[in-house]
Amino acid sequence: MQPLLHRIQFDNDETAFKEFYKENVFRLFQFAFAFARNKELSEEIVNDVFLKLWQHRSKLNKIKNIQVYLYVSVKNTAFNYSRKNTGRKNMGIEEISTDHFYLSPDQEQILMTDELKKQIEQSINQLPPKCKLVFKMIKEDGLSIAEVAVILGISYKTVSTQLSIALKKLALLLQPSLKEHEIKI
Amino acid sequence: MSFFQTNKESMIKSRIVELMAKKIGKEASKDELDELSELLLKNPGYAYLLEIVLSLKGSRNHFERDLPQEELVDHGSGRQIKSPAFGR
Repeated sequence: MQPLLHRIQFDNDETAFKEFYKENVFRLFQFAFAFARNKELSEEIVNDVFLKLWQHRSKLNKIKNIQVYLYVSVKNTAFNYSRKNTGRKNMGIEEISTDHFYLSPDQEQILMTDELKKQIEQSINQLPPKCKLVFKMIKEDGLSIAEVAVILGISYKTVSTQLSIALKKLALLLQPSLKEHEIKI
Repeated sequence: MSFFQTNKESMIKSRIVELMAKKIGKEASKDELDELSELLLKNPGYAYLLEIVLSLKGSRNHFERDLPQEELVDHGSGRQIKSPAFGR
């Protein structure tokens, strides 16, 4: 990602910017959707963030962590839209929608029955929103606990706890399969 | 199995989950990763759980197909956005 950012900042390289956009837009759109809950508005939020990034490209090297910067910008832009339209100061993280996040075990990577796959998907879908968001950001978006804490404005401990809750729920659901696996081994 | 054995087992499982969370969350130190590997060798069921978690991935098609359409209402003059969070 760094070479792309370098080309954007120092060469005003639009192709590099498009590539950078393509690499990040879907994750950010999903994140925006958690707050905005509609497609058009989420697209507007994400495009606003990228537009500002392009406009301020000369300062890109001052950004310590571009991933954290993008997520925080999306969240703040979503909050600004919310404030403008509802007059409410801030949306709580508990109010987010995570129904659109979908994680599924890859059966090409791991051997399991269709029934177990379905159970895992259901278990993840039933996680409380905050827990599901944290799990998705870490597992799918590849962010670290510390990065998620900064992005969501919650403590490291809270992120860590939410992640453990998700894992414990999966462990509980998979209890029979885990036991069976231990016996097989 | 005695109470103390059960309690010890549950402490070990909590520790495994804690270490797994650190590993997935990219915050585990080398010592913690080693500790996790050792614990997983003794608890192969949890090794399977970790494999499952590591294999989880998102689906773009699923996301696009499942966008909640109820947030969009048609008022005759085209779709208008109705979002509780944004008051539109």
